[in-house]
Amino acid sequence: MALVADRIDYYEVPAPYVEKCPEDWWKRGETFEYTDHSFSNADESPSQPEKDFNRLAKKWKNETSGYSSAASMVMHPAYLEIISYGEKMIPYILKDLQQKPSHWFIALKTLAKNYSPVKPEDAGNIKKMTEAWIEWGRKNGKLS
Amino acid sequence: MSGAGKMASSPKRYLPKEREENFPYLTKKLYEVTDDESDNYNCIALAAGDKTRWWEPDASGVYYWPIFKREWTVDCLIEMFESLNFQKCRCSLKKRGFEKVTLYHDPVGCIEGISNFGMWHPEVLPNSPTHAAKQLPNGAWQSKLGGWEEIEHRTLKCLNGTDITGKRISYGKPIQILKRDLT
Repeated sequence: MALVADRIDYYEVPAPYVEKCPEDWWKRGETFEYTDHSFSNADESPSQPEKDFNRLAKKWKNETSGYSSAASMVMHPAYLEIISYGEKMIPYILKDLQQKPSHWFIALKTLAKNYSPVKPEDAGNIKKMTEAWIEWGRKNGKLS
Repeated sequence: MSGAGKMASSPKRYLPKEREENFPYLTKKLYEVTDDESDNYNCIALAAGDKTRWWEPDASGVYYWPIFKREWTVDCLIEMFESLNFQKCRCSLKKRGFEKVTLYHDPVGCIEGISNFGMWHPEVLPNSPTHAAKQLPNGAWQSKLGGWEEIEHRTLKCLNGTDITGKRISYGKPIQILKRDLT
C-alpha cells in the first residue's frame, strides 16, 4: 500500500483515503486533507488493545486483589501480558488508575523504562503515587 | 482506627461470599468486616499501625518499607517489626501492656501459579510470608485482606487454610508471634 506522505512513516493511511488521494498530489502544491474516523471521538467504541487491556485487567483484579503482596499480584499472567504489550498500554493503565487507584505502579515503572515520577517519601502512599503518575501521563501526552 | 468499638455498635458486615470462600475457617460467628475494601494499605501496614500506606519490601522499591533489607521472607518481616520495637514471642494470648502481631506463612509453597476459589496463587517458595494480623485490646485479631476489606476475627485460625492436596488457599498458617511493650 502506498503512503500518502513519506514523512508519516509511523502511520499507514487506511485504503479508502489513499484511493481518494490523487497520485500526483505532491506535484500540485495543494494540501490534501482527510479525516480518519478511527481517531475521532465520534466512535467511542474501544480499540482492540483497549479491549484486551480491559479484559486482562478485570481478570487480574478479580484473581489477585486479596493478596497482601503487590509483588505477588504482578506475577499474575494477565498482568504480565499487559506489560508484554509495551508502552501502548500506558494510556489505558493511567485511565484505569484515574477511575480507581490500583497496583499498576510496577507495570508503569517497567513500561516507562524504570522511570518513576513518585517522590521517594511518597512510596507506598497509593493516592500520591496515583497523582504523580497521572500528572506524568498528562505532561507526556499519555493521558488527555 | 476501627475495631472492637465498631463491632458492638453498628450492624455486622461480612465479606462477599466469593471472598469468604477463600477462608475455610472463617465463619460468620467469628468475624466481621471493620473497614471497606481499599488498596491504600495492606496487612503489614495495619499491623505496623499505619493505614495511610502500602508496606512491602518489593525489589523495585515502589512501596514503603522502613528498613534497608527488602525481601519477601518471614525473616525480613521479623527484622522490620523488630525495628519498630517488637520482639519475638511464643504466646498469642492477650497480655496487658503489650500489643501483638502474628505473621502467617505458606508452609507448602507452590511450584506453579494455580487458581483456587477464583483466587490466583503465584509460584512461591515454601515458608514464604502471606499475611500479618494485629491483636486488638479485646484479644481478637484485626486483618487487612490484601486489597479487600479489613476484618476483625476472633482467632488466628480463622485465616488458616490449605486444601486436601496441600495447595494453599487463604493465608497458610501462623509462623511467628511478635510483641511490643506499650508501657
